[in-house]
Amino acid sequence: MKKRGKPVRSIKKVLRRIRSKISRKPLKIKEIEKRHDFSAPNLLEFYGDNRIVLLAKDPWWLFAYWEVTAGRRKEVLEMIRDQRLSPEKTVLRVYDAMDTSFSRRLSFFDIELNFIATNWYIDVGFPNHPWVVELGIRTREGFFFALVKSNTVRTPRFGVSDVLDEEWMMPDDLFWKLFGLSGGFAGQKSSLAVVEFTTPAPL
Amino acid sequence: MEKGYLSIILHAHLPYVRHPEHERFLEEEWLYEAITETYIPLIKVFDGLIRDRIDFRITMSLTPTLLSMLTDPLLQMRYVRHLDRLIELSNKEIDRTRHDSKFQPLARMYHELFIEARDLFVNRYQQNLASAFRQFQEAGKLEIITCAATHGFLPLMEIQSEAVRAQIRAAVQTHERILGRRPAGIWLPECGYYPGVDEILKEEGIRFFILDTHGILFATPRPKYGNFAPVYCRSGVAAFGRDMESSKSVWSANEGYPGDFYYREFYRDIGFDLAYDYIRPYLTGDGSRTNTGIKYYRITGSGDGKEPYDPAAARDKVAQHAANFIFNREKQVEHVQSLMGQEPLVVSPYDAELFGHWWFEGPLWLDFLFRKLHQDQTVLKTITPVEYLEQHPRNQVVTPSLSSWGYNGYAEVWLNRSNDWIYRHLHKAAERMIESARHFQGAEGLERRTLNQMARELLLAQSSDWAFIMKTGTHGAYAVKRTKDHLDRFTRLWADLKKNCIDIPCLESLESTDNIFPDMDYQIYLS
Repeated sequence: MKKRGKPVRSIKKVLRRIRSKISRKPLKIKEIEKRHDFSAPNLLEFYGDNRIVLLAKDPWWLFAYWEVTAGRRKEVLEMIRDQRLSPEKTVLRVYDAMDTSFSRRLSFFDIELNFIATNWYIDVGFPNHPWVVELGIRTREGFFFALVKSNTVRTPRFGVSDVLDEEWMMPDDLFWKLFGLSGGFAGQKSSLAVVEFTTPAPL
Repeated sequence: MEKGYLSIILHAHLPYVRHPEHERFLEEEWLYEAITETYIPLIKVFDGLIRDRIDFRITMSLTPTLLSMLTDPLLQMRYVRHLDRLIELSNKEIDRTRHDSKFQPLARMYHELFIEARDLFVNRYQQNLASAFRQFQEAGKLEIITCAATHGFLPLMEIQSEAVRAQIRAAVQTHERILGRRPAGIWLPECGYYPGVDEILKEEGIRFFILDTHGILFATPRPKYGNFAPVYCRSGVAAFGRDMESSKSVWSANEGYPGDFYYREFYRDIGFDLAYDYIRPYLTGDGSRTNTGIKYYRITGSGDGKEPYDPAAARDKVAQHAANFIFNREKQVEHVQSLMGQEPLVVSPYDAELFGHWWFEGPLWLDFLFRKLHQDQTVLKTITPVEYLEQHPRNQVVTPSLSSWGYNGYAEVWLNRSNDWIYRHLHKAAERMIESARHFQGAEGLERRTLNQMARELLLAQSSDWAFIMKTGTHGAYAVKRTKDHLDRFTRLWADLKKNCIDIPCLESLESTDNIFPDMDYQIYLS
C-alpha cells in the first residue's frame, strides 16, 4: 500500500503545482495588462489624398509611400480609355532628376507593383544624385499616365568629393572689426563709399 | 604651448516619458536610473574639479525633453520615492551580505551612493538638476547646447521645413526658459544632418552643430583639414566633425575602455539575480524583473563566470585608461599638427548615459582625464566649440553630406521595415499642423489652447526614439503605442478644432498628461 500510496501523493503534489501555476499565470498576465495597457489606437490607413512622398534612406536606396483615391484612379483610367489604350500595370517610374535635357523622358526605370502595395524601397544605386518618382499606369501600348508625382530627393554622398576648390569664411562681425582696424572706417570716405568698398568678397 | 585642442561633448537625452496615470511605470525609470547613475555622478565630478581649481572645458547637450523632465515636479517627487526605495533595498543588502566580506562592502558602496544622491538632489539642488548644470555653465566650464525639441530625426522631416523649424524654435525657447540663455550650438538628433537644415539653424541664432565623421569628410568641396578643424556651411553656421579614433577608444565594445575585465558588469543586477519574493517590492508595478542599479560583479571575461567587483582595482584601471587616452591624443595631435601646419581640434562626442549608467567608472574616467590634462601635460587643451570659433574664426566653407551617427551612417535606423509606417502619419499630422497654424493665426482662448496642444502632440510623436526602439525591439510595443497615442490625440484635437466643437475635458486631460513645453506657441509652425 505504501508503495502505491507514495506515487499517488507525489502525483497529487505535481498536479497541485501545475494547477497552482496555471491558476497563477492568468492572474499575473491580467495584472500586467491592467497596469500597462499597450493597446494603441488604430490610425487611419489612408487620408483621402493623392500623394506620393519620397525619402532618402542611404546613398543607394530611396523609400516611397503613397495613396491614390479611387476618384483619381478612375479619372486616369478614363483618360487612357479615351485615347483607345489599354491599361496594363501600375508602376513606379523612377526618374533621374539630374537629367533636365529634352531626352529626360528616357532617363527612368519602372518598378511593377502589385495592387496592394502602398510603399516601396527603391534601389537606385547612385549616391549624390537627385530623383523623382511618379506612380502611374502603364498601358499595353507602352504609354505612361501618372497618378501622382513625388518631391525630388537627392541620395546622400558616399565618398570624398572631387571638388577641390577652397573657399574660406569668417563671421561678419570679425570681418568688420578687421575692416575697421585696417582703416576702412577712416574719415575720408563717405558712407556710400564704405558700403561699396565692403561688399562681401571671398577671404 | 599647446599643439592641439580636445573638445569632449556629451549628448544627454531621454525621450519624454511621464505617466501620471500610473503609480509606477517601467519606462519612467529610464530617467531615474540616468539621474542616479549618470547626471548626479557627472555633477559630482564637475563640482570636484571646480572645488580643486582644475581648469576644464566640456560641452553637453541637454535636450529639451530631458530638461523638461528634470524640471517636472511630478517626476522630481517620484525620483525621490525611487531613491528612497533604493536606500531601503541597499540597507537590506548590507544586512543580507553581513557575513560576506566580498559583497558587503559593495552593498555599503551602493548605499552611500544613494544617500549622497538623495542629499545632492533634495538638499543641494532642491530637486532641480537643471540648475546644477546651469551653475557650471555660468562658471564658464560647461557649454550647454540644445537639441531638436523632441529629438526628431530631421533628415526625414526635410519635406516640411516648417516642421523642422518648429522643432528648433521650441528647443531654443525651452533652453532659454530653463537655462537662462539662448544656446550657441545644437546637437542635431542622431547627428542627423541634411544640406539646408543649417539655414534654419541660422535663422534661430544657432552658430554650430556636431556631425558624424563622414558628414564632413564627404563634404563638397573636399575639406582641407578633414575632421581636425570645423567647417562653415554656406549659411555661416559651423559644423564640427566627430573624431573616429578617440570615439572608438570609448565606444567600441571590443577595443573600448568600458569593456575592461575589471570594470563593473552591467548585466548582473540583483533585480535578476536575487530571489523574486525578496526583490519584488523594488521592481516596477507589473512585477517583471528589471535592473535595480545594484550590481556586484566585474566583467571578468567573456564567459558567464563572474568575479566580485573590486572598486580599488577598477580605480587603478580608470587612471591607466585616462592616461592612455591622453597619450594617444597627444601623439595624434602632434602628428596631425605636423601635417596641417596649425593646431588640430579633436572632437570627441559620446552619449552622456554611457558614462555611469553603462560604464559605471565613466564619470571617474572623466574626472581623472581633466585632472591629468590640467596638471600633467601641455600638449592638449580642452576647449568648447564656441571658444574654438572665437579663437579660430577663419574656416573653410563646404556643404556637408547628409549623414547621421546611426548604423551605416544615414537614415536606415529610423527608416526600415519595422518603423517606416510612421512617416505617412507624421507627415500628414505635420501638414495639418502647418495648415491650422496658418488658418488660425492669432487664435485666442480655447482655439489657441487646442492648437498649442496639437503642437505638443505632434512634437512628441516625432521623437526619433520611438522609431529607434521599434527597430531595436526592446520596449517596441511601448514605442508603437506612444507614436499612435500622440498621433491619435493630435487628430482628435485637429478634428475638434475643424468642427469648432472643442471637447474641453479631453483638452484639459491632454494638457495635464502631455504637459511638455508649457510656453508653447503654435505659431512656431508659421514660416
